[in-house]
Amino acid sequence: MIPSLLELFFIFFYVGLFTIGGGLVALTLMQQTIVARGYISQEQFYNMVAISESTPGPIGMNMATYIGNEFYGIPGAIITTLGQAAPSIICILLIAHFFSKFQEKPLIKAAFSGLRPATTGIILVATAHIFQLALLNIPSDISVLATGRGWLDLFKWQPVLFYAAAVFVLFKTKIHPVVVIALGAVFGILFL
Amino acid sequence: MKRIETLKTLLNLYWTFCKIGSVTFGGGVAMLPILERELIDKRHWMTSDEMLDYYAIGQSTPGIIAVNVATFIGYKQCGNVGGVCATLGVITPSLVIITLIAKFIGTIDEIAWVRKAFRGINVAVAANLTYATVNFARRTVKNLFGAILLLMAFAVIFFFNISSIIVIFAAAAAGIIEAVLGGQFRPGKKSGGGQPEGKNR
Repeated sequence: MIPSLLELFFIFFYVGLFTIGGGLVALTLMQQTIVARGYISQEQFYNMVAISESTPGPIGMNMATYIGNEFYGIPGAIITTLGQAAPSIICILLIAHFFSKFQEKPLIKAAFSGLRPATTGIILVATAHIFQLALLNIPSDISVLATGRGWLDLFKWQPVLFYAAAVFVLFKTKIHPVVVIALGAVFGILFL
Repeated sequence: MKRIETLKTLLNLYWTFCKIGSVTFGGGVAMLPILERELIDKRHWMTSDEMLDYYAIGQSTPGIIAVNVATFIGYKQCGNVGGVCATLGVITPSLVIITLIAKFIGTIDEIAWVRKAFRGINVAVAANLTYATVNFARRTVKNLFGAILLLMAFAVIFFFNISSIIVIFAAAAAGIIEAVLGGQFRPGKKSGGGQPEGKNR
């Protein structure tokens, strides 16, 4: 059983509309609308998630493209991607229109003076998550951290060295973040 | 002549976001270090305060964050059409790359060196994000109040899994309360904050 192109558009419009706060929310919504209805299997879905996470582009968009492709090839991919982007475009254009009018009002200014440091905190969360994933071996039993050996095992040392060097170079030179990503890929192939 | 200029701006927007999309690994926040370098430092399209405002709004409105931010920046550069062009740019790499992968490679995970490369890329993304986070913290934390907000926002999400939308609304409320307590809305002090309002009319 496969959905029609029109149905696909509306499914992904729905996913885009109710994704508030990030890609993980989108994955849950896709699971509910695509997997639960039996359009694709759970296993296939997880395989798609794994690939979407590790290829360039926002995860949500990669997933939309992938699922559309599965049913109708390139036209399907275009329909799902546009369907998912449409609510963003509509909402943000409306907000942007009003934002430029209101951003100088004292009340809005005051709200954003609180928002900016908090948004930096939210970005720090993403940084901490990727740091955990890439640089640490989180032990299943925290009590091993009572010993020095446990602390030594907590870090993946080769990635830590690359990370330290990369952060140093980023602060000291004008190296482009994309160059760091390319070097990271080479480092991974050689040492990880 | 003017039409050609606009067309150039739109193509430039599309192409810029196409490039940014193709080097973004992970979610919308992973895009930040590259946006910072390309749009704030190199092209001077916006300030870091504006970028953070877009992220705050993009995180609390419907849609994928990367797309929301792209639409916002595109709108600022070239109105509604600009918003659409930037969005099409940021989703094009997904379309092309995933279509190719779906066609030629069944499961990318099976190729050992690709897995290793992605592990290395994760370390690089961690470094890029560390750098971007420090930069943004330096620019946005201007007093103790800002430092507390930053740490609180981090702690409640990281340790207690509170939704970022709640954090965003709470932080906006905190900003307003701080301004009220600081006396910014008192009639006597209104001349400072009230001026732009008068200009709009």
